[in-house]
Amino acid sequence: MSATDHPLLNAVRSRLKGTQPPPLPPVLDMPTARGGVDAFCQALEAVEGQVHRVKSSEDGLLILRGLAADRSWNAIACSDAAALSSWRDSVGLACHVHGLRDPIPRSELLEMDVGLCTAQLGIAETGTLVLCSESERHRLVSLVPPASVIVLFARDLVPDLASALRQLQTQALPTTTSFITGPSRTADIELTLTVGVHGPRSVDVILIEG
Amino acid sequence: MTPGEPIVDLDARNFGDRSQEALADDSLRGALDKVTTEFANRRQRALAQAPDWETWREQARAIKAHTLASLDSYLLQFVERAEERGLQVHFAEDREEACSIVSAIAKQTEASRVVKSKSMVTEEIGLNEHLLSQGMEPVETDLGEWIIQLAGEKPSHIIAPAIHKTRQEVGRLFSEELGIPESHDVEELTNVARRFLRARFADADLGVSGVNFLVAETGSFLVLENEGNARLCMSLPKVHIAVTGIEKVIPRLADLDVFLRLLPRSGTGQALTTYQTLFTGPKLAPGDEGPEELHLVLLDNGRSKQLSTPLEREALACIRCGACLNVCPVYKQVGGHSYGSVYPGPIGAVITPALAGQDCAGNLPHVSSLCGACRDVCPVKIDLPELLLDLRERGTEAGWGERWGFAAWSRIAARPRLAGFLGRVLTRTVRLGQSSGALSRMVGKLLPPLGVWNDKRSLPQMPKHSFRQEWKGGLDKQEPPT
Repeated sequence: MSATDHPLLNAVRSRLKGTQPPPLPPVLDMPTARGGVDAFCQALEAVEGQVHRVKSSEDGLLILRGLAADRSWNAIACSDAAALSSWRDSVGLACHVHGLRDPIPRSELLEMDVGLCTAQLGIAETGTLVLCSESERHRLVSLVPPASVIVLFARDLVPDLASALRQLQTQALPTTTSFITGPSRTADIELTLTVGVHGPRSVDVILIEG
Repeated sequence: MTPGEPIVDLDARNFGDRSQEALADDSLRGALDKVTTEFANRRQRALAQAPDWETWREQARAIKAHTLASLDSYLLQFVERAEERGLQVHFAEDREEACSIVSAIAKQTEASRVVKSKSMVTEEIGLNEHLLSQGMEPVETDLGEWIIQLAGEKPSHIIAPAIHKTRQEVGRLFSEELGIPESHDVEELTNVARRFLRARFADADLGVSGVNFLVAETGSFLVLENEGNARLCMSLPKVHIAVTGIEKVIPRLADLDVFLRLLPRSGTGQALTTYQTLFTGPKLAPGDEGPEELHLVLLDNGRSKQLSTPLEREALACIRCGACLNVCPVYKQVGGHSYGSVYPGPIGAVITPALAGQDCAGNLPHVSSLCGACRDVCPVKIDLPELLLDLRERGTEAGWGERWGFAAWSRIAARPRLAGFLGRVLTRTVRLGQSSGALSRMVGKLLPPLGVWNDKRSLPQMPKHSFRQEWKGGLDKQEPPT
């Protein structure tokens, strides 16, 4: 049966018979948020995320090495992002690449200390990272390990969510678009905020401004 | 729930008994007071940073009013676009059909280890009970939902299902159910959830989630969360099934902006929840991430019956933020379980009769003082008091006693002398009774409605003079004639 003739849709139709729908309002023309790197950092830090501002990819790699040493990371799960190919060989950790042909097995992924990937967009107003699934395999590496490091290029920053949605719509939507704002959190027991329940406990963004 | 037990019905008949129990439970009332106050405060703080709040609300209300009045065409558009992208869409007319669709997919794909993320609709259809009866093991993975699953309870709040439990109660529950040392430390208890549920995620083969918004123009659906368990449910198992009501559709991708500004601020007071995941069809390459099969169940279950009038349609605009619960003077005292519905509070009192039927939930619209606080906080401006009044009116069928009583009253009231005389007789009798204390008990026995009223309240002391007497003597005079 095609959807058009389904009894459920017919039930909806018969209930709405004779209804004149009020007009659909145009998309709200909201004043664009001020945007910019400072706003992004402020918003992300307000939700327990960390931003490391660097001038070049080389400096970004140094930050990653420093974080790994400070936090005793050994095994790193890395997405197959092209922008990270030079990092993978020189990061100095046991680096497992999560690729289309050879994904990291689930059991091994659960043992990794940190996940590394890039974000396709950043939203300054809320400190949000936007991950588009067709660009790289970063859905699990940004989610399963207890720590997440995400590389964002300052040129990919947009001021607000409306701008991000407009940009996403310039082409066919990826199968999965993940919006991430800080580390995983819960307040389900007595409304007490606890960071790091199912997703990463820490989110470090390496923001490359060069 | 034991396996094989039939799906429990939404049953809101015993509000009176349950609310009495709730009122006597000091621990529950302490927790409720703390949580509703804190949620309301967080919302207030978030709104202080959002000067355009009223504009957003008006926009969201207008989008919903338009969409619901043309729901058939938007649903069709959604289904067509979603199917183009490979999403398998199923329509379910009621709870039983929705449950059967899910278990049929599970059987077809030989999946039995089910991980679930928080979804009010799966609570509504009693999915866990059904899956258990089919020999499957559904595990709730949202911390609050997991707590109430372990406790064998139902959610008591739309967005914070276990808020009626203190940390001590959760610690004891974990210790008893999981055989671990008892801890009352919230961080430690949260870590227990991470540790135990990781093991379930590791070998799960079916993921089930709800949906916050369906986007008609792109055939996408969006899921909001903070913990990351929904992302895990939607990423690790080979099959994923999202279950949602038909009313969740919005026309344009750009409309997500205004709804994502309203929903987290109204619910938890956050500017944005930690995660939003937008799905547009299953993965394209076999080796890619995510489930091999992606299904969506669209549930009616009484929703289409609410489409006939603009007022009823308003109830379907709800985005399930829970703000109306936190400000409701009734909910704040008796909590979610008293309502006997998975949807408590003012919005629950409105939608439960449509979902469960008047027989089960006909009294819920009366569980409100009509103060209007719910309408003031609703992010999509649902006129909840008006809806409650409408439902009261439709649910009321005057019996012969009521008809006779009102007819007699209107005749008496039209004759001032007679009314005055009977009024004097009544007030004197009551005054006499109050001096002895015997009358109120007698009246209670003779006139059942008064007895019910008197049962929980004391009859007010009769004043010395009636209003009519005072009026005759001039209202400004201290001592009217007798």
